[in-house]
Amino acid sequence: MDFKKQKPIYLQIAESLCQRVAAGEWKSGERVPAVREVAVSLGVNPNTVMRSYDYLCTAEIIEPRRGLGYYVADDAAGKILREQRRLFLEEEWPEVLQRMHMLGISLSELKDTE
Amino acid sequence: MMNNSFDWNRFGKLLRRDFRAIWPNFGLTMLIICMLPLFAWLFCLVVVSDPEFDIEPELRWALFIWGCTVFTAMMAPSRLYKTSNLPNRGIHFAMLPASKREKFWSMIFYCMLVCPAMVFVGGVLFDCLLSALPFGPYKQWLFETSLLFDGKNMWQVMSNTFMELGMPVAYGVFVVLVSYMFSSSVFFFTATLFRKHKVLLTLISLWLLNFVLTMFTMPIFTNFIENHPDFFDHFSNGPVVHGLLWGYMIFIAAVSLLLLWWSGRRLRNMKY
Amino acid sequence: MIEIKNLDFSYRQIPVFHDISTTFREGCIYGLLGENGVGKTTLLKIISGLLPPSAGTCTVDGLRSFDRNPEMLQQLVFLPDEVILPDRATPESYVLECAPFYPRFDESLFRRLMRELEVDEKRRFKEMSAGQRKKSMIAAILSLGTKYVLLDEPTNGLDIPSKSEFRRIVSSFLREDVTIIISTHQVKDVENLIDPILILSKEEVLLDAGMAEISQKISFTCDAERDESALYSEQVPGGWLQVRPNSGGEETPVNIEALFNAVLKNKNLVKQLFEQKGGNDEQ
Repeated sequence: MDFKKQKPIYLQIAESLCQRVAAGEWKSGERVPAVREVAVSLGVNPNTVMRSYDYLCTAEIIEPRRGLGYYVADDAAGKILREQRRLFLEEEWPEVLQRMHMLGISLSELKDTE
Repeated sequence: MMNNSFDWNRFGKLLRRDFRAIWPNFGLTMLIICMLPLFAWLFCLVVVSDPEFDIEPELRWALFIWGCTVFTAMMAPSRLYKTSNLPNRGIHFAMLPASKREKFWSMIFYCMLVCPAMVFVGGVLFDCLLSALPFGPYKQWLFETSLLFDGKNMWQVMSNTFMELGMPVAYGVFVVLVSYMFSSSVFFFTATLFRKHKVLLTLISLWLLNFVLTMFTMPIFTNFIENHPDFFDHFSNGPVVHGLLWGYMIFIAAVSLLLLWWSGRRLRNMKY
Repeated sequence: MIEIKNLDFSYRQIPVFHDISTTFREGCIYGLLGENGVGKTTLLKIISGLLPPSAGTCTVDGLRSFDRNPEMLQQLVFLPDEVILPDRATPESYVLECAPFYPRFDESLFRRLMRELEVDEKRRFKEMSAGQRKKSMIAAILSLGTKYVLLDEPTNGLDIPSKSEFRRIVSSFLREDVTIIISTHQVKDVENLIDPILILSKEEVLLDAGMAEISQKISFTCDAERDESALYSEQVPGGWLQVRPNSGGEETPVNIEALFNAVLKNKNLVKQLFEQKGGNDEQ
C-alpha cells in the first residue's frame, strides 16, 4: 500500500478496507482482519489502525463485537456504494464538468469515446 | 515496601552467570598462573646442574602457591569486570536486572575468593604432581616440614619473627590474611578507577604513592629521631610493641575495608 | 509510565537540558527527534538510569532511574546505536545469559524474530556484519519482554528489507502496557510507526504531541505557489511543500521531516499552538 500524500494515513487505511468490502471480499456479518494484523502487515502503529476502525465504526461500516473482533455491518457494501455515488455526483463530477468547460470538450465528444 | 536490594534467588542467578563469564575472560590466565610451580620446576631442572638441588616446601608455599593466589586476586577484578566502568561497553553490565549490592558482592566473591581459591588448588595440585616425580627440584612434599626449620610447622616458621617479640602464632596468620585482603582490595578498587591498563597503572600508582610518602615522612621521622634520641628505648617495652604491631595490622585491615566500601560507592554511582 | 519533571542535565559544564518535563505513557510508540548533539541519546540514558540528572527527577513506574532498581531494570531495555558485543558470543548465548533476569522472556519469540530478520542465532558476532549484529540485538531485546523499550537509531545500518521487517516487528510488539521510544534521524524509516512525537532542541522540548493533534492543528500541503506566511516551505517536484497552521479543519497526512523543520523555525508559535501540559485530554 502506498501512502499518498493526500489523506491522513488512518483515512487511507479506512478507505482501503471500504474498497475491499465494496468489492465483496467480506460480506455483512463476516469478520474483518484484526487491528493488529492490519498494523503488522502494513508496518504502522496499531493506534493508527485503531483510529481507522473507530472511524469506520462511526460510519457504521463495521461493528465491534466484544472479545471477537470487528465484523462487517449490515448493508455495509450498500452504504459504501451510496457514499461513493454521493461523492461522485456532488464533488468529482462537478470538477470534471468544470475541466470540460475549460478544455472546451462537449458531452457528445465523450459519447464518441465510449 | 519490598526490599529489592538483595534477593538470594536473584543473587544465585547472578553468581551462575558470572561464573560462566569467568572462563572466556580469565580461564586461560588462571591456568597459566597456577602453573607457576611447573615453570619454576622446569627452570630449575634446566638451569641448575646439581641433581641434589631441592626447593624447600616452605619456599614453594610462600613464593609459588601463595604468590599465585595473591597474583590472581590482583588480576581478577580487571579481567572479570573490565567493562564495569567503561562508558559504552559497561551498559550491558549496568542494566542487568540485579541490584547494585548483588553485583558488588558477586564481584567480591569471584575476585577475592573463588578465583584465587581455584588457582590455589591448581597450584597445589601441580606441585604435588611434580613432587611425585623421582627427579627434579621438588623432592619433598608440600606438606612435609623441611629440615631447615627444625621441625616447626609452616605457620610457626612464618610467625617466627613475631614470636620472638612475644606475639602469638595467630598474629602471623592475621598478617597473612590482612596483607591478602589489602592487596586484593587495592586492585579491586583500582579496577573501578582506571579504565585501561588497570593492573599496570595500579602498580605504577602504588610505587609512586610509596615514593611520595617516603619522601614526605622520612625527613619528619629523621628529624624526630634526632631530637628524641631515646625514642627507641620504648621499644623494649613489650606491650607497646605488641600494641603497635596489632594496631598496624588493624589499620591496614581498616584501609582495605575502606577501599572496598569506596569501590562499592563508585560502582553505585557509575555514569555511563 | 516514565515521568520526567524539571530535568536539568549538564555534560562537562555544558548544559544539555534545562527544566524539561514530559511523560511517556503505556501503549504508545514515541518518536524522539532532534538535531545532532541535542541530547536524544542522553535523554534515553537518563531514563535508563545510566546518567544521573543534575536537577529534577526521572522516574520509571515511580522508581528513580539512577537507582537502577532491579525492579525497574527488569522492565526496561535500552539499545544504543553502537553496541559493542563480545566477539565469541552468539546471539543465542547472549540472550540466554540475560534471560534468567527477565521474567517475561520468550525464547520462541526470539527464535521467530531471528528467522524473520534472517540472521542465524548460532553464528558468532564477530562473523556478522554490523547490520546483522544490530538485527540480532533488536530480536534479543524485544524477546526479553520488557514494558519499556528504548531504541537509539534502530534502523541505522539495516538494509531496506530489514527496515520493513523492523516496522512490522515493532508494530506487533506494541501492547497496552508497553512503551516504545525510538530516537532517530531516519524519520522516513519509522514515520507511520511513531505517535506521539517529541522534538527536542537546545535545552528544551519544542513539541510533544500525538499525530492526531498534529494533523488537526497543522496542515501539510503541496501547492503551486509559495506562501510567504507559511511556517515552512520547501520546493519539491510538483510545487511547494508547505506547512501551515490548519485553519480548514481538514486533516492532511503529517510529513514529519517538514514538521521538524517547521518546528525548528517557529519555536514560539508552535509552543502556543500546542499549549497544553501532559495529557491530550484537555481538548
